[in-house]
Amino acid sequence: MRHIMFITGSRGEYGYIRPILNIIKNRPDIKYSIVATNLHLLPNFGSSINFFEADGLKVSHEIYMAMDGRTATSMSKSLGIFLTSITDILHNEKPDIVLISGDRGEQLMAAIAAAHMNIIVAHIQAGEVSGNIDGLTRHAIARYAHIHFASNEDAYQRLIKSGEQPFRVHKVGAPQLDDFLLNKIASKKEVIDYFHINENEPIMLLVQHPVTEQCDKAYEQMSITLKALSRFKYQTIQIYPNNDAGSTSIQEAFNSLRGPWLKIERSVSRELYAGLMKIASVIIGNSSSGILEAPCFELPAINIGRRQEGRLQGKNVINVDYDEESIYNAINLALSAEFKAGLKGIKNPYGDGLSSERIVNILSGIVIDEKLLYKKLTF
Amino acid sequence: MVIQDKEKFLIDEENTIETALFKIENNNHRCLIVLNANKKVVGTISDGDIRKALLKHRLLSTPIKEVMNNNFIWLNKDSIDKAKEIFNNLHIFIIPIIDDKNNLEEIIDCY
Repeated sequence: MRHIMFITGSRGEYGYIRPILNIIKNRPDIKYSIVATNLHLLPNFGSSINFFEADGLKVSHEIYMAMDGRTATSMSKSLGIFLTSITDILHNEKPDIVLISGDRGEQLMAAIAAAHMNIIVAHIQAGEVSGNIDGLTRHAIARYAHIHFASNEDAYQRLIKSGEQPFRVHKVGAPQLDDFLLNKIASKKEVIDYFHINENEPIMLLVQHPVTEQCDKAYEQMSITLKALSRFKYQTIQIYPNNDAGSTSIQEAFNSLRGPWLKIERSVSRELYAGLMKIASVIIGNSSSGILEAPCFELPAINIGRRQEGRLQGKNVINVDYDEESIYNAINLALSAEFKAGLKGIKNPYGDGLSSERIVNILSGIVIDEKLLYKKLTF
Repeated sequence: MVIQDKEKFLIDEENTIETALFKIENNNHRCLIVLNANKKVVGTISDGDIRKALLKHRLLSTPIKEVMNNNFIWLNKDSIDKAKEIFNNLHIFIIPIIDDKNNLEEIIDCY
C-alpha cells in the first residue's frame, strides 16, 4: 500500500490538503499520515488542530516548533527545531511520498529532510510567485521536489524555466478551491449568527499578515489599513495574522485602534471562512486568499503592499500600496455597483474544482523508480 | 439594569482561568468582561467558555486571552434599548456598553 505523508503548519495549508485527504481517506490502496506543526498547535492562533478531528482525520504526529518572540531570529531557529523532528519521523515511518504544500519554511524543511533520505517529495501550489521570504521558500522547495503540482500555466512555465524536467511538472489547478467549487461552505444564516452580522450594511473581511522583510513596519502597515477602514466604520471581521516576524506588532496595532466595528477572530473553520467570503462585500489585506479563493465568490479583493507581488491575478483584485488615501479609494471602488457588476460570472484562473482528484490519481499511480528519484536540473 | 460595582465584572486578558473562575463565583452572573492593557474591551469569558477550554485540557493557569470569546455581543449608548431583545434571544447575562473606541462605559445585566 502506498503511504503518503502530509505536512501542515497552518489553517491555510490545511485548506490545500483537506480535499485531497477527504478523497484518500476512502481509498483502500493509499495510507495517509498527517504531521501537524507550527500554528496548528498554538492556542494563541486558535489551535486549528481541532479541525482535523472534526473532519474525521487522524493526526499521526504533532511537532511543536514555534519559539516565542516572533522575530526574524525566532522564525529561523524554529525551522531548525522542525528539521530535526521531521527527520526522526521520516526515519521511523518511511513514507513513499511526502506531500508538501505552499511556501512556508516548515514545508521547505520537510522537503530537505525527505530528499536527503531518498523519499519522494511532491509539492502542491508549485511554481507560483509570492512576495517576501515565502516566495524564495516556494522555489527552494521546487529544487528538492520530485513531483510538482502547478495550479496554472504561468506557474507551469516558471518551473520549466527554472530548470525542472517537464515530466515532473503536472498542471492540476489549486486543490483548496475544490471544497468551494463543490459548495462545501457554511450557510448564510450560520455565518450571520456566528459573527453577529448586520445584513443591511457592507461586510468587510480583513486578513493582513506581516511582511517578513518589512517586519519593523508591521505596526505602521496595520495602522494605515485600520485608519482607512475606520473612515467607513462598516462591520469588519479580522482574522488573526500568522506568527511571522512582525505578528506581535500587528496584534498591538489592532488592539490599540480597535472600535466596535472591528470583530477579531483567532481562527475560523474552512466552511465558515468560505461562507464569510460568499457574503462579504470585499476582502482587504495581503492574504493569498484574496487572489486565489475570492474569485470563486466574485468577491472584490484589495491587495495591499508587496506580499503577493507578481502572482497571477483575476479581475477581482485591486492592488494598492500602504497609503491610507489609496486604500480608502480602493474600498470605495470595490464597493461600487459597477465594479461588482464587472465580476459577474468571472472564472477563477486557479482551478475548476477537480484538482484534488487529479493529484490523488498522480500520487497513487506514479511509478517510484530511479528516474523519478534522481533529479537532473536542466539549466 | 445598569451594574454599579463594575469591578466585579472585569478581568484583564493576561489573568488566568483560575482567577476568572474566582471572579465569576463572586459575581453571580456567570460571565466577565475582558480588558486589554489599554483598558479596551476585547472579549468576554463565561462559565461555558471555561468549560470548553477545560474539556480541551487547557490548564487553570492558561491566560484568559487564549480562551475568551473574541466575537462578543456589545451595545453602545444609542442601541441600549435593544438589550432586552438580546437577553431574551441569546440567553446571556451581561452586555458591555462601549464607546466608538471600545472603551467600557457601562455594564448592563439581564435582571
